Amino acid sequence: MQFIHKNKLFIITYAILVLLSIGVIYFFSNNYAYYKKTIAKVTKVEEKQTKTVPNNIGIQETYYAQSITAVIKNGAQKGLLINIENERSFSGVLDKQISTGDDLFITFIKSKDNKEKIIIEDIKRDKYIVFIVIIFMLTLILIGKRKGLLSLVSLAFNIILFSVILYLYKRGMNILLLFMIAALLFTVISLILTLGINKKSISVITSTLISLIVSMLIACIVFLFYANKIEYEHMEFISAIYDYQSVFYSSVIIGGLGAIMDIAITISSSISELISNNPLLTVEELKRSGKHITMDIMGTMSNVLLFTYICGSLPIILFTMRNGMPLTMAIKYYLNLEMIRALTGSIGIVVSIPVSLKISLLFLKRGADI
Amino acid sequence: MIFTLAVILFILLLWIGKGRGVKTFLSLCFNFMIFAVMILCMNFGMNPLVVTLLGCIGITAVTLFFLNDINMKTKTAFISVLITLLLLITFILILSNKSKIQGFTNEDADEISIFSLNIHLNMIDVIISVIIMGLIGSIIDIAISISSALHEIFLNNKDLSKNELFKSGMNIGRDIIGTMTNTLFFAFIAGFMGFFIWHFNTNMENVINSKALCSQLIRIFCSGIGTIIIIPISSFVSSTIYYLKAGR
Repeated sequence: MQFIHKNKLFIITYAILVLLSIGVIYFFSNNYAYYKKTIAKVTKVEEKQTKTVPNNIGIQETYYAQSITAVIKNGAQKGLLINIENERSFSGVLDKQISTGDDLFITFIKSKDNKEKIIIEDIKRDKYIVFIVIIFMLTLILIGKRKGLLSLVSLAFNIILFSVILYLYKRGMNILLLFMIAALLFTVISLILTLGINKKSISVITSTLISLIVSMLIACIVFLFYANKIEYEHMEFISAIYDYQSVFYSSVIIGGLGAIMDIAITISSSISELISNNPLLTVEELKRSGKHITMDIMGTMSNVLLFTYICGSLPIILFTMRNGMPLTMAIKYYLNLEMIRALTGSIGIVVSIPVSLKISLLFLKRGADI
Repeated sequence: MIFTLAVILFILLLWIGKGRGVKTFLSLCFNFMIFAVMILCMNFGMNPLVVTLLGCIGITAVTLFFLNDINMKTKTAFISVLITLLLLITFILILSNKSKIQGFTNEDADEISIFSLNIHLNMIDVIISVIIMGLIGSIIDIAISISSALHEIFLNNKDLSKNELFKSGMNIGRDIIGTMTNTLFFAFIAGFMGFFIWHFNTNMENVINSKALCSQLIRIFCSGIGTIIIIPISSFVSSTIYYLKAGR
């Protein structure tokens, strides 16, 4: 009872948020009228195995014919019951796997012998995007409370900043320059929003920027040596980008920034806590405690980076291996760029540890000097 | 180039981290080997979901027990990670199956055109693997941070109640949340810049329903949700276990 009393305001606000969220999700599940393209909702799918096709190394793929009954949900033919034929495979590498309840974007075309055929263009996924974003925000606010809300605000700022950068890039500005400025702004804004303007946040901002510069310099030197050996063709969406080298380099910078900020904040916070709990600790003792804390986090952080980057390559590696490519070759091809990102990020992390330690001691403890 | 970067990393780890640094480098190597073994198992025909769960247990064990020694802090963190994984997996399973994000996107179709599509591999399970592997790292990181910090607090304040210890864990977690959301955002941007550059002027209707955007967002936000719920779970597990051990 007491719990509910104390947190009344929060519970009411949160309940309103949940109701709003349900409304938004419901809206996106039924927003057919807002789309220009024709959408049909699947009511029944009948499936039949049709054939098995082998590939060049003998793996047998099973194919199924789907007989789909659907109802058109918008446009002139709203309410019309239609029948669509679709072929899917067991694997589902590129084909569409339709099930009951899916919303499909369809077009009508006339085939050669003047028969009308219905083509499935894509699946309507906007409600899932809205769903996961809302669940994320609700969880963040539920567990993070005010700090969670603040991080959402800083996230919103960063998104706006990123959109501005994208716009300027499209107008012709150099992406590398843009991202260096962006890195500076991202850092300062996120940190001031979450920590306020005080000695702690200034120390974190300084440590982050210095670590970033040092690790980028190291990466730069290595890049210059090996610039023509980086296999840029595996970059996603490469065909749309003409200055892919800069784009790649920018993505390495931004990727490392998050990890470096994390370490800088952890170290600064810990040093600050240690000092506030025991103002009589000497600089030497602080240095030693600081080292202990940093040893613990250094290890796990690098592993975080490693897995965040390499997990995305799993599908393409498995795919090519099932086509006969040996594991070592697949890894060499498809993990090349990700490993560069992960290793550069880890170098940034390792560099940021002594840098953050020295700088937070400098800012937070009187009498400490470099 | 990878080799040079790895050597530089090793030297820095050795110089700044000494013994611990070397262990860190080795843990990266071991975890990478687990990843390779996971791929081999999936290629061999084992169910990708089972392989992922087993692999994640292995990765957690290496990162916690090898890197940080086997003690009460790491054992608590290990349990917290497992509980969180089990809670998340149903959610991820259902969402991935409904949103049809398996396989490759239209943009990737060119790159794989020289290969055969007949691979008899359940790509839905593969994308679920990707999502789970993407979040395991940050879950482990937060679990050990909270478990470790609570252990220190517990040792220094014998007369804290279990609830108060739990609340401390939540406070620590809330501080981490801010940096975590931004780290995720940056990782997302880093990997997905090309998509935004390409689709900057395209039809909105197509972009927000695209498999590419949907799968990336689901991956990143499932990661986010995982890193958020590990906070109360590891606070709860840590405070419960430390109190049980102390006999209170």
